[in-house]
Amino acid sequence: MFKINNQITRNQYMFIIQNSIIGVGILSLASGVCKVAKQSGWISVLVAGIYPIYICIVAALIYRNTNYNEFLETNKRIWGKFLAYIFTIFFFINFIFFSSFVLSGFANVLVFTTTKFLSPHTIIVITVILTYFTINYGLTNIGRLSELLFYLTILILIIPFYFINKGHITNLLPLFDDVSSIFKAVPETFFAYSGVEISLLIIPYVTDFKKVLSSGVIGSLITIFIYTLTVLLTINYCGHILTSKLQYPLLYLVAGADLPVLSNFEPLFIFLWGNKIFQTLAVGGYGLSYTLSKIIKKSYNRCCLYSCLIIMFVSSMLVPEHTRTMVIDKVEPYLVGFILVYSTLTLILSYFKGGKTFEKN
Amino acid sequence: MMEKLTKDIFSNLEFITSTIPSNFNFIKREIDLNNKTCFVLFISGIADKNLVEEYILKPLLNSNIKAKNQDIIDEILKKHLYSSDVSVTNSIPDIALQLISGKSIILIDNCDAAIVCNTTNNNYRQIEESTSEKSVYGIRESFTENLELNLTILQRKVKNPNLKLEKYIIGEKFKSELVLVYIDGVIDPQVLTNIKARISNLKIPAAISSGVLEQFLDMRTYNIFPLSKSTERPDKVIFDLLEGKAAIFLSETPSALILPATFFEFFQGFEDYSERTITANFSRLMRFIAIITVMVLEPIYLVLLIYNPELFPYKLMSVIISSRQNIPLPPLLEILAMDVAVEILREGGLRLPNPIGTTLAIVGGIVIGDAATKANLVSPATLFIVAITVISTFIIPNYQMALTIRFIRFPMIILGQMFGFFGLLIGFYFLLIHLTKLESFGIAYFSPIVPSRFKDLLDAFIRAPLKEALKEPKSLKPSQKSPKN
Repeated sequence: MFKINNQITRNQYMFIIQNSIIGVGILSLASGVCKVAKQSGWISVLVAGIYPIYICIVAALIYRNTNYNEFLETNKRIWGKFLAYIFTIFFFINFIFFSSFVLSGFANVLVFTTTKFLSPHTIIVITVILTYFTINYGLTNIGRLSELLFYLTILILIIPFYFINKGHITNLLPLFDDVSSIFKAVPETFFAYSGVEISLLIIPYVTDFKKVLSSGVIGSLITIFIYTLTVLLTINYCGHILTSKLQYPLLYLVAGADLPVLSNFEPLFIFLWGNKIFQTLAVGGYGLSYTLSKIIKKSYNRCCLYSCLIIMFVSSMLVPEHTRTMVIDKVEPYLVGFILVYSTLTLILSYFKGGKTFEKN
Repeated sequence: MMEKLTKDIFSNLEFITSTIPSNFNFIKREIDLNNKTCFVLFISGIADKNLVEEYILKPLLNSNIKAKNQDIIDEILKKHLYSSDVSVTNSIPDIALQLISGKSIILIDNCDAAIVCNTTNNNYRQIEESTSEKSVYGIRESFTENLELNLTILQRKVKNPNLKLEKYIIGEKFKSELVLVYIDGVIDPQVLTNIKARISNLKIPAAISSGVLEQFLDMRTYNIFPLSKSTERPDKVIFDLLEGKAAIFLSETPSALILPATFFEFFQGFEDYSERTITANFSRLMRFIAIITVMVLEPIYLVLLIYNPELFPYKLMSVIISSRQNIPLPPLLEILAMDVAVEILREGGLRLPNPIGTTLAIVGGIVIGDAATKANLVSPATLFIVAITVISTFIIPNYQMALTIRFIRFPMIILGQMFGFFGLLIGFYFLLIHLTKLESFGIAYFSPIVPSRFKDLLDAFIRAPLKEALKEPKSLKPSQKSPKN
């Protein structure tokens, strides 16, 4: 059994939040929002950014009101033992779906692009092994990796910037054609913004609670900025009609360059983005193992193994891409709804049940 | 077994002899001190015979000792011995240890203590210029096998009263002296405690070189990254001591071990600080490009050839296809064959005398490369990729790290062959997992990037102006919490 360390710094918390959100969604986000909001799709992405910001603020406030006890302990004192376990099971299910959506999506994208010769199931198995190695040492290691991989995010951002002069501004006009469609497109972003729920679990492990709220918000803002910018540049380059018809508009964008050594940016982008996906999966895997260890009361290490097997099994069921998209469309609104209702109610109750109830054991 | 000396000189002599290996060069010189039997013991060769004769035998034989019993030792120490480094002991194991360290022992009848006199033979190699770590601007001195001389070189240059030297005796099968050097007040107390604890708990059969010691200090047996740096150059040691690190000197070893070490400092050349900021940054950038080249150029070339030829631009593709015509070997074998040939040449070059070794590497490289392309075993494009990779390995300033980086490309090639781009992704991410997990004596190996210490980044990828770059790195001070922690 490995020694687990869960302590993370405030910076690491910020980078975990930032990393947990960016996933497979970034590739198809533009397509989904353009179908409904057309050229204003990037505004929908910006507006939907309220969701991760809201979750980060609520999570920070809940733990501030409850003296930074662990997730299950806090829930027990707010909701009672029975409901606390029920909610932990809901979180467990949420992380199963989240991790499996990411992993199956990753396998589908790889098979679609640079790794056509491999079966998606092989990719899933190997990625799960890598995820196991990442999560088995606890949150500290995930925090460190997130911190490191943040610098790769900057590179991911630079590639779309190459195309800033290649599109045409008329593709983005008029900015506000139909305001209601902008809001109607918001549910299309749910999957892209999911993952932020990890903040409801990990705040007690931050070494310094001061400014934990702002760290979460900054982490979310970085991702919102990246999402909005990539969608904006994609629409600017492809126009909303083509964007809405493509499965992965961002990949179409990065493949559009003509370079001297590699024919385009696609392999470089897949390389950088793949590392982010491993990290997103690690965050999901951690959430899954953490909640599982609380539910079945087994060691975290053992639960890592179980979690990886669960992710592997569910992800394999979600191949090919149309199956995955269909399941996401059905499940994701309920998951987001649950998280929103749970977090809001927990925050309200935490204000009522203050004081000695939450003194640390 | 008897541990302490008695008043019977012959039984003392017998016990000491029994603890010393029965060597022909163990000298027991009997003299008469005013009708008292006295023995001068030393191991010829380790102890300097001339020093024994000049500083011990000559004054004792010409002396007129008046004191009696135990007082005789006091009188000899105060009036008759010319040596500056003397002490008294009554422990037989200690006497045995001092003898094999080159000291001489004076045993006197009716005294249950012995005089230890430093007569160590200091006939070592003279101070020379380092051949493995050449420098354009730096000093020309390098460490030798003489521990005392190494420490003298260091103390002469670091005129700081806080420079601390702590001596340890290590080794289970045979003993070696280890000296821990640090600047008190500069080194972080937590780091110092970690280093001392590690040295104290060291279970090493024999510390025969700093490389062996380094591996015993690192508890992760299969870790491929060096967690401490070895250097022959005093200026490098001083620079690191000023940054808050410690140095370990081992007897009979011509290099110092600097610890803790972080990943990025293995790519910082010592000359970076002597050159102007812009040119130093250019050199550093070249070094990082070289590292990436060594690790991924061959695997990427392989993946593009086997799985993703569509990613080559059209013009480049036609060049590569024409160069690969009539090549019977698959790309993997082609690359591996050339890589193995180069590694063999390099290893052979290391074992041969310097001028012959260099000639072998150059001539061997040219001959083998030319023959392989003419025989259509290797394409010119592959040869070019392998040559670029090999040349890039020479730019990594630290030999231990260069070895590690060179090794990494082999698993990357195999992963590339098995899984294409996905394999490279797996290899890279696995390296990141490993590197972020590593710690060197309490310091995160990937600092200052993880955990982020933004001010320290001014001397990681880039070399900021010296005013900024030479500030004490905060990442080496784990006990001083960052405000963001």
